[in-house]
Amino acid sequence: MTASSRPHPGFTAAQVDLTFPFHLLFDKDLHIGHLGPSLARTCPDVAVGSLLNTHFELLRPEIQPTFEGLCSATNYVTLWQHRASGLSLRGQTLLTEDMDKLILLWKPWVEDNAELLQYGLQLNDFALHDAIPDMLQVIQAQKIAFQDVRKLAQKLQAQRAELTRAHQDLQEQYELLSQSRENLAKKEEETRKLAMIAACTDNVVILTDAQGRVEWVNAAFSRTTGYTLEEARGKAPGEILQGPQSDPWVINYMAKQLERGLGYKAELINYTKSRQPYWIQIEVQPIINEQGDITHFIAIERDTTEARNFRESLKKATEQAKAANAAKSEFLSNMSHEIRTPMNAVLGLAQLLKRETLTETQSDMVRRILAAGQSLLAILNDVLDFSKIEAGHLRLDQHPFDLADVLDKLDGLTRATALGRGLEFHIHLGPGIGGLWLGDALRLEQVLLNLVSNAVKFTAQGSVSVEVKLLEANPERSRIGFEVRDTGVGISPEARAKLFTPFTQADSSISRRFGGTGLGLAISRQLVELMGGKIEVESQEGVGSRFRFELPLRPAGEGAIRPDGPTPNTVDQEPRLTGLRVLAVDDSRMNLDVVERVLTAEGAIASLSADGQQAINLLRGQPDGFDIVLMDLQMPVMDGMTATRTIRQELGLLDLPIIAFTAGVLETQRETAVRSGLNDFLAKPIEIEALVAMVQRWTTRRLPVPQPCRAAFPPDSGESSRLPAIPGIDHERAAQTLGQDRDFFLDLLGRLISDYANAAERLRSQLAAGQTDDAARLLHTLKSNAGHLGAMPLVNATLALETALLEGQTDLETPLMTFTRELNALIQAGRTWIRPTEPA
Amino acid sequence: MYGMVTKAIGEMVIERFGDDAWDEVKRKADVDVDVFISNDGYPDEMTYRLVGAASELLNMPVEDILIEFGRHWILNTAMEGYGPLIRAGGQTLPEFLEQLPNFHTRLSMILPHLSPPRFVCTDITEHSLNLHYHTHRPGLTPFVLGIMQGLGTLYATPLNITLTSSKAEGADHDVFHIAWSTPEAA
Repeated sequence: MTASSRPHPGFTAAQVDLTFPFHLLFDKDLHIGHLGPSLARTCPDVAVGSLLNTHFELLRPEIQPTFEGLCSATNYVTLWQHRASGLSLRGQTLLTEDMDKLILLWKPWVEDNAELLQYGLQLNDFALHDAIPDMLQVIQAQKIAFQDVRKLAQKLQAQRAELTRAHQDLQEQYELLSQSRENLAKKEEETRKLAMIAACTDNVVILTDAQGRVEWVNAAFSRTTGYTLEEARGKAPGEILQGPQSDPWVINYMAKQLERGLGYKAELINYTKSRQPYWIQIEVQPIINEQGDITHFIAIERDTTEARNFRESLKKATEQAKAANAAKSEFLSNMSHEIRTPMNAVLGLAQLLKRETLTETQSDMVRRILAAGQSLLAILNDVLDFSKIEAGHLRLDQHPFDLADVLDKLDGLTRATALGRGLEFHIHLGPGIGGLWLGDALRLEQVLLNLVSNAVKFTAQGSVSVEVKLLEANPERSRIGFEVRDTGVGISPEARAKLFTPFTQADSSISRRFGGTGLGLAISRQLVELMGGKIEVESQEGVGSRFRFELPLRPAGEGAIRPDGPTPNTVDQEPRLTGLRVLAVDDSRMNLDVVERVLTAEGAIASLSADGQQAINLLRGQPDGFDIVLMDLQMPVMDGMTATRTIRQELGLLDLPIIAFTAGVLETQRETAVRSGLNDFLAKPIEIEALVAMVQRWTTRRLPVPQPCRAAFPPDSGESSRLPAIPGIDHERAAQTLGQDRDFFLDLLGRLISDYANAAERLRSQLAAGQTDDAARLLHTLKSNAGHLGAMPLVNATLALETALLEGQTDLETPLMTFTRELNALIQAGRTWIRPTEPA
Repeated sequence: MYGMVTKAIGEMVIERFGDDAWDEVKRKADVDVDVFISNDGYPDEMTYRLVGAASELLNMPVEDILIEFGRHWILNTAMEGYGPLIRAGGQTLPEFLEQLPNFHTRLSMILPHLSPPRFVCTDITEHSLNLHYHTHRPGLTPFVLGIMQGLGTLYATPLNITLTSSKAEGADHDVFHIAWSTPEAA
């Protein structure tokens, strides 16, 4: 091959070194013939003449690094490694023209900048056409760029986090702001409303700064004081409003409070612009901002001049009225005493004179003196009563009383007079009014006496009747109607108009004919009104009149104590039930004995039955044989309510009064009793007067003419008449039932001890066996028997146990123990006085 | 200019005056860039504004800023990012300077938007050469001076640099006469 036929012209060795600084020439024996300058520098261990494979390892391709093998790889990319340094050399293999040498055209193969230093490579180790340094630059630039991007990303992330935080802060701020705006709007609205109120109120409103200088006043301020806002602004209110009569102590107090920043209330005199004084009540409060500083004071003033003046005049009037009242009371008291004293003397002397032996004329004179004196006393009482009522000094009593007693008294005071004038006289107490009521019995008597006396006075012929009815039953407040009817002269409409006017009668002729002060009806009207009622009158001249009033009365309730009645019957008093046929029904022999004694003493004819069936049998045989029945409720064989129903329904005795003899514990028992046909209730233990009054009340029409009768009880004749002093016995109670009959008392005591000595054990057995009815009956009977004897502790203990049993209480131990204790105490105390009798 | 330049300015300011100072420089120069991406292009005038703002805020003449920047460019930026390549540029300062033209040529190939200056070394002796600095960018002569000083420090070769021809004074290009006393291997 000639030089001219070479495809390319030949290069010089220097050009080859420049172009391929890492070239290497070797022969067929693999001896190195020549190295490029950079190869020689970077691989100093490689010497010309040394074996190729000693210094360099063929990594790619995987062929035998023989001359022949390498000849076959001239078309492959080769990768060698300098064994000593590890430098990788990439390149290709060329066969020389004479075909007995091979040239390795290498470039150092590095992957990053650091390897340049590692292998001691320089830029001029790379041919100008070699892009490896450029690639390294690119790689490094990219690495740096990635670092920049990463840094940017981190910064962005941090900024984002900060932004998020800032956003949250902003959000919170926004919410706070919104809240503040809302609060502000609310406060503004509130302020607006308050400003409106302040502006429109009639009270003076003053707003000052923290130093107490006026900033604002409302219209009422200008109206009241005469000062405008401009005149007041900037001044302390006291400067323009206070004056000579303004209390300096109050002014000083107000100033001190302001200094301390405290609110206050005060009353003092202010002055208008025209220096007119007026009283104010002032309230001042500080206004404090959110930082706790006082920004303003607000004062509200109310003109109290009129109120003060009114208070003063009221005080004066009250004092005057009190003085007048006191003077009046003193006058009444003095007059009452001054008049009564000589009147008592006149009447007393007249009565004494009456007992002397007098001629007929003298007796007549004494009678007239007495009548006149009593009239005068009555007039005096009327006048004093009237004055008391007018002066508001009359006080009504609120004590338990029995309406039957009131009517009894009324009857006693007026019947004789009525009958004496040839009039019919009736007093009727309606059903359901039995028992005690709370009120002033005396004043009620006074009213009824006045009305009945008038009726009797103004009735020449015919009748006078009194009716008392229960109009409405209510445990708190019942209504009771009272009516007084007469067939008298009647009252004209003109006279009726002024009937209740004090000091007037129907007409002047009445006072001439009938006398009287004209105060009676006025007093009655006022008394009825004081008691919560109102008197009405209906009348027809020549026919008669009817006076009626209603009173609200409250039942006295369980446990109310009947007021002391009249003293027990004595020798001088006449029997009160003479001829009455009374059927007493009770399973207790002791009870029957007591009732029989009382009835007999009062002149009644007593029949006795031991149970309801016996009573039915008696009544069936003698339907008209009795005037009244006294019926115990709890009895064996047939109880009282069943017997009553039978009497009403089977025997048809609807008009026969049947009175329940019981201490019915529960209200429901009373109601049931009334529904069964019973008319009234009589409490056990029996009280003579109550028994007599009850019988009398229910047998009024049947009362025959009273006849003398023996005394109910033996006269008081010394020791044997007195009841023994036994612990647990109330003598007064016992005497009310038994009188002073000691023997009768001891007999009853002996029977009680005999019959009930083992009552506690019997009760326990009955209760254990569930025989509650038997136990209740035992307690019921014992209670009434003990009551006859006045054994109140035992009565109360028995009542408590009976109540607990009937109410269905499960724990009876406590009341049972109390009952046992009281029973044993009475028995022990009583045994020293009696010899026990055989049990009944 | 590529981001590596403005980034390098920032690094220099931060190193000497702190982060707040650099933030202030950027604010004053109206530069709203948090992180400069090294191989991303930015307007030349941004670099001028940053240099101007730094001069004002740091109370240093612009020339001093640029000289300092040139030194920083070699001793910090180039060495940190491209240390081995810089070192591969030559074992001695004269070698490096002789390779400078090739260096910039290679740079322009891999950074297509780079319009690098052109350096030509003439009158090369054992102890001096003339470095011809051709650029279309005005005012960066102090920067090149700083680079030369940095290279002198890098190669531990005390240099004596004289601007023998100034474009600012009407010459075609800047010519630096660089003389050294005892060149040592880097």
